[in-house]
Amino acid sequence: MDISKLESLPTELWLHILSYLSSFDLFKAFFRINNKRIQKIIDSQSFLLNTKLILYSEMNQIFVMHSYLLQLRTIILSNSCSSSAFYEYWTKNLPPMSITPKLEQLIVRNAGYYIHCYCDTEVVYSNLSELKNLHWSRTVQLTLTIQFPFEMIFILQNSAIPFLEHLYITIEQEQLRRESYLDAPQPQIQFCESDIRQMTDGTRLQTLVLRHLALYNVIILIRSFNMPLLKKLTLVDIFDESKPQQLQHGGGPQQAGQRLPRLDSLE
Amino acid sequence: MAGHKIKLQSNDGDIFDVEVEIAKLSITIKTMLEDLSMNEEEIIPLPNINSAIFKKVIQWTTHHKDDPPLPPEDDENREKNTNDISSWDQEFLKVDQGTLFELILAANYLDIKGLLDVTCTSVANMIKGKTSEEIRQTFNIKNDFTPQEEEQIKKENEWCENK
Repeated sequence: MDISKLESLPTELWLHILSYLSSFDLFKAFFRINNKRIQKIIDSQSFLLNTKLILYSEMNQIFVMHSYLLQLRTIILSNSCSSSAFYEYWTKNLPPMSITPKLEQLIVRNAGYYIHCYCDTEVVYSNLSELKNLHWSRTVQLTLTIQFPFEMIFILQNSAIPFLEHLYITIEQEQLRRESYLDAPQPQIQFCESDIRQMTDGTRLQTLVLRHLALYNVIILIRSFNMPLLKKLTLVDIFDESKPQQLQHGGGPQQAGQRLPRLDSLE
Repeated sequence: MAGHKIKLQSNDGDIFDVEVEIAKLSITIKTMLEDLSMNEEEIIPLPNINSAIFKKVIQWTTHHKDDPPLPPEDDENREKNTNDISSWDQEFLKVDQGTLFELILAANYLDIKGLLDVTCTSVANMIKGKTSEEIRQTFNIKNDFTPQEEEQIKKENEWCENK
């Protein structure tokens, strides 16, 4: 073995070196390397695009390299210009999954940024409406922060994410009172038992983690959402609006259970 | 005990007297001394490392012997920083590619995480921003695809490249 060549390093060391590269640098460097062993190592990588770590000026390179977008398994959006640029590009290509067909995980950090700093309310609203046509056929696990409970229905609607098994949702603006939805027309969908029964499908769901949801809505969900395979339901920061002083800070599922005596009576 | 030395032998027969505390920066050597109860008078063979590389390793560990322990890596989505190579390390790593890869292998064999990280970071920096063709030239990587395989790959990528 000629140890003086990069090509000859063992796979474990290749992986260590590659761990220092962004998926874009990795793809750009090895996409056309035409070396079977290296190609195999590159193919084993789970392509993650953390948009915050990409320079805004590099974004155009990403947009024109469609073969890179095709490989993405995880996208992390957060509060940066690059994130915003990618978000706009991605959502303008409808359906977004056509350019990122292998996407398994979408992580949105600082979601409020997208509403208050970059996207006008109309864009946010129209994008949520577009989720009505959502179809992520490969997604098994989804972690998402949403603004209002009814948006969960967009995610859980029949056949939108047919293989969804693990769902982690944080609600940012949970309120029992109905308020105008970002000054846009109220959506037709409501977080009520009938809409949940008619529109959603949780038949494959095994894990459901809900954060910052009103007890009232937890009861609606559990009464109406069909989850026959559910193994683990975790409720965090559940609060009762009628008694806000009792449920200020949530913890793990056990704490939530202890703080929610009514949960014992749920079916 | 400060100043106390052990003997380490490279694969080309040279014997090095190295302070125990410096040698123990290598988890491999530390394990030999502690778990395998090796006598400090015994010569410890290092069959995977030659003298030239071992000298470099000793140089690096001597300089870094008082470094604080490295923090654990706990976020799989965190991209590692490739800009934090100290100026001393940058100077230390001004070596030819062969030496750099042998240092990586030595750091891996001796289990010296700091040295492994800094050498791998250095290679990552050499890769960063380059195209496949530039990578092939920089590292002299062999194209082992047949013309038919190349044509096949080209066809497979054509549709998205022209999109």
